[in-house]
Amino acid sequence: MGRKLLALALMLCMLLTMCAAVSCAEEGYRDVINIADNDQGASYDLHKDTSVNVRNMLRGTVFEQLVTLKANGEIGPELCESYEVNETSTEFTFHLRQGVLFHNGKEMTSADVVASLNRWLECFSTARKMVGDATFVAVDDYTVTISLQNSAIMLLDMMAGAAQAAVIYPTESIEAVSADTGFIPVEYFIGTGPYKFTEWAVDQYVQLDRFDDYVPYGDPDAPIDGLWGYKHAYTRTLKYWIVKDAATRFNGLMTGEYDFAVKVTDDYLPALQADDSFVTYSQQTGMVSLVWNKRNTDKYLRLAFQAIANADDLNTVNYGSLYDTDPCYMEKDQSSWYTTAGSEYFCQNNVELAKELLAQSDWDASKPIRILVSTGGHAEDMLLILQQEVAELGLTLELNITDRSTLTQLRKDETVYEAYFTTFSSVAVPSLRSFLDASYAGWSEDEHLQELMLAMTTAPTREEAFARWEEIQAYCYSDYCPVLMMGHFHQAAACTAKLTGYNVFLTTNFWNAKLAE
Amino acid sequence: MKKYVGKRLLSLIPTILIVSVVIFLLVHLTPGDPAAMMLGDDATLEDIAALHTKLGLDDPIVVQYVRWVGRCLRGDFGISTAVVGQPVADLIASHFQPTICLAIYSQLITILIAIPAGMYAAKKRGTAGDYTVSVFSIMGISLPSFLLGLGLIMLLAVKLRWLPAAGYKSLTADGFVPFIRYMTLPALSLGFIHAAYMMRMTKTAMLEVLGSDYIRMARSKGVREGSILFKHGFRNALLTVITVVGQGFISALAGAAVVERLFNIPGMGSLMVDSIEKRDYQVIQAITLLVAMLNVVINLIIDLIYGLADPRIRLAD
Amino acid sequence: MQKDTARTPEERAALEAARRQLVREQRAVNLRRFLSNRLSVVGLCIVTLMLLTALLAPVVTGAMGLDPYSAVVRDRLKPPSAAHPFGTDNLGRDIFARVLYGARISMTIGLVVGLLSAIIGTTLGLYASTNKVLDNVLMRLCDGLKAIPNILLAITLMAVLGANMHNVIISLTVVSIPGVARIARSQALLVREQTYVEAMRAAGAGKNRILWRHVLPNILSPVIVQMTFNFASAIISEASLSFLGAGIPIPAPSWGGMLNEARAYIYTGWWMIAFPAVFTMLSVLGFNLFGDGLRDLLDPLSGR
Repeated sequence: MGRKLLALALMLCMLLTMCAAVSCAEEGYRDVINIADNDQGASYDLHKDTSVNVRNMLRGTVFEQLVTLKANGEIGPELCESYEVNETSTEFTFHLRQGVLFHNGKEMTSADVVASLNRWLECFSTARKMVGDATFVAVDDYTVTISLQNSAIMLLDMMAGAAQAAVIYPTESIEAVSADTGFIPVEYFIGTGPYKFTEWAVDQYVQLDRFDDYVPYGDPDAPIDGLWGYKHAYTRTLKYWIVKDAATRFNGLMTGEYDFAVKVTDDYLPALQADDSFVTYSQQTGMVSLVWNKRNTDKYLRLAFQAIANADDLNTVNYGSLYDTDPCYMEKDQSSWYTTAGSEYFCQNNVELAKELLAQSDWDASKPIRILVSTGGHAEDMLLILQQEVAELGLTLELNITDRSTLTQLRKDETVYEAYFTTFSSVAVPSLRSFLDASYAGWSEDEHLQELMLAMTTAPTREEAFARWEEIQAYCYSDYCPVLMMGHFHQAAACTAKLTGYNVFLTTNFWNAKLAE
Repeated sequence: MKKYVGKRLLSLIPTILIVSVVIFLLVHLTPGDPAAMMLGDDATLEDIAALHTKLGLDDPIVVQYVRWVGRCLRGDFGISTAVVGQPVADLIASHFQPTICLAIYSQLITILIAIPAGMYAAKKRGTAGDYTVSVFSIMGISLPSFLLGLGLIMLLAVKLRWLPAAGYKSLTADGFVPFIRYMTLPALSLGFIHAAYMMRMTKTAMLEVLGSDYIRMARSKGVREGSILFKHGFRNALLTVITVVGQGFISALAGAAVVERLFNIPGMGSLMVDSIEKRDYQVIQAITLLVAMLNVVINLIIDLIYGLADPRIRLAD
Repeated sequence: MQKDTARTPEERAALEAARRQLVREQRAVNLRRFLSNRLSVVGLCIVTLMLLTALLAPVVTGAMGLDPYSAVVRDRLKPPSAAHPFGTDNLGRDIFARVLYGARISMTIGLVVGLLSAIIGTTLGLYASTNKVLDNVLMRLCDGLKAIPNILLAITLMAVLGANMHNVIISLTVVSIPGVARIARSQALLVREQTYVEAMRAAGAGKNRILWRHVLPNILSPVIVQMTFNFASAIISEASLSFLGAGIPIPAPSWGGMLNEARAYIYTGWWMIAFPAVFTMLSVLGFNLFGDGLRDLLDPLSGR
């Protein structure tokens, strides 16, 4: 009881300081930040919707998780005070923070957490496979635990950073899941974050408004560390406009319509950089790759492509300056998984070597290599360059250019293609790199690879998991070549120089952002 | 008259039925999976397959068609998959206002430019003024709307900063001034091209009327030129104008996809294009039906106006 | 008189025109009239120039040593110069060569769509005029197709068929057929009412013979006029399809596709959008002017 009172008192203090802070902070700052986003989600239900825009907008802003990512890739407690993992990484216990309020005013307890996380397991087959039949159970009002048969140290990483974010909804939201679709309806987008989900005007905007009873954690004076830290909503409203056209986002930024624009293309950067009233920055956003259909190609053909590819030429025609030739399968931001193992094999631009490798291949050079690519990302241009490069080896590429929906359908059929082009956004842990999966389109069924993958996912410690990961990447580059890795694309964002306080990690987060008059 | 209207309305049924079959088949023949679109790029195949079944997409196509028609007849147009959980009817309702506003505004611009210009060209036939109008109108017809739109954005929004580059403000929620500021560029891009067409039609119709015997008669009787032009000439040319306005309205209702995309207007055209991209079957089907119905009804109205304005045209036969 | 339940405005205009035309029996071809109209001559010149461009593209670019497909990445986004008269695009390809080759694509699409839709539409219209049941079925089908907005029908068809040039042609043809069919049908109905056709029928001439030998020649003028306009609108439609991402895929140098690509480089490479835009506009303009002149010639009362 005493502890509860103490928590309550603490909370009150915090609220008071927050109110004080808010009232000063608002002086000279705008009430609304207009953000030009490039697409809308299908549902904004984070347990289900894996699209980047949805995750970037809502994770940490409207919804929070038990644990979240710090900048160095470590896991930080968010809605829990602390957590424990046993030595074999089979038992995870979370001690929840007390006094955390949902947007509907209800206090978060273990019932909400258990309901949410078990739905998350249900929605997310990869996590479900990792835990087997186990589920999350409540020990008491503020303690939640799960115990597994096998070691799964990466369960924590997935809870912190998976595309299908393990956010905590109140039980009411989980109960409101639609019977027709299995999604949570908009009215029940209730979280614990500093902003509330107020309105989704389809095809126009999503509006988030400050949640005045938000209970922050972390040190008020320290900057945000990754996605973790003290959040304080200075601005009353975040308005995410849905603006699909890059030119429109740019023009809107120039005319002051928007304060911030995502996905600014290379064409507009010079104009923005030349103008002091704007700030631009870019960051690694995902990997650029050609995924091989391993059932139709042999490794020497794949290695020959890797030997001849010129990563700079390929990327320049599509991304301009917004790319790098970093060989890691993970992003640089994710320092705990970052490795350059195998990098000596990365796009070598070496015709002689490619010829040697191709000579060992069974591939009949008179047959065209069929490649699927979808419109919309201008990736076709890259493949035209690749086509020109491999022509030197006497190989022909046959491009099948379709829309995105058609590509996702066609790539399930192993008989219609040798490779398809795609970009992969960042994933929480290497085991989520779908092209390493035996059942993912492209079928990495190689035994050695799968053994290594299993060794990594069931490793009891992070060190050991990382060692396996380095081995996997090295093996992929030197031998198996499941994808032709071409590098990482960057996404540039631009905003007015009056915008401050936002933090950049994986995406731009607006929790603490403020916009000067 | 009543019989005629009844008959025309009756002929709506086979048309709509044909549209429904055509669009249903097209949509379901298109490769792609709404379930995959619902779950995003990183979803696993297993999760997608489960949702696919849940949505009833594994059933035979005939069963799906019958189920859909049955629901439509009961006034239930289904639930969107691109905007999960949103009833299709609500989605269409919310996208209807921008489109109808754009259609009306652009038609107003069209009429304001085209009719005076067309009448002027007919009056001053063969002069430099007539040639200028002709050249303008033919150039307007030859210009793809997105090029005109891009040009207008570059000039009026980015260079001169007179108007916003893109976006939409609702007439009801945000007020008249913001609405007009945002709507002017798209309405101009759309209106100018319709105006080009209407100019020609107005001029042709006016010439025809002005060359007719009764105008010559009026002239010889000494009726004032102005009166001839407006009272006798324009009134008779009005029919053509009504037809063109009606057509322009129909094409603005559904054919404005390109302009809506360019100016980021959340209207029916962009909803349709998005729905095709995201394989939102229910929305594609419902919009197509709605537009088809509007199309037929507007044509009927034009014909009725025709009949009322010019009794020589026999409606029922 | 035939039932006239769902007349569209074009049809009505055509009906009116044809009625008057038949009354006056004025069908002398007057080349001088056409040539005396300056705008039509300009149109004819543009059309000829575009067709020549399309035919000679390989010769001209070959002589200049330019290739529409070969990409030199280090030469990307270079402004117009002596070596590259229209500059280079984001892959370092020569835009001049691409624009000239683009004429081949646009002209092919225009011609094939125009001709195919005219042939199919006329045939449907002719047969619809012979049989009431057939007429009803065909016209309801046309109504149905016409009721779906063109561009949306075309996008959906492209999604079903897959993106390539043949399918663009098929989609645009399907979209243009109903217009031609309606015009052909209403004209044919009028011609069939004529005394001489009835006389032929009475004299025992075969149905098909009447249709193809006597009705067809008399309905050709409005169909040909409609064809030139379909030609022009096919070029615009292809550009619009490409703008919405459903046109002819790369590396084919179609103007619409080039415009679509160029949109991403308006600031750093204005020449990427300028040249294909000018050529698109010019050729559509040419066909429209030409069509106008043709209409004045073949159908003197409906024009200016």
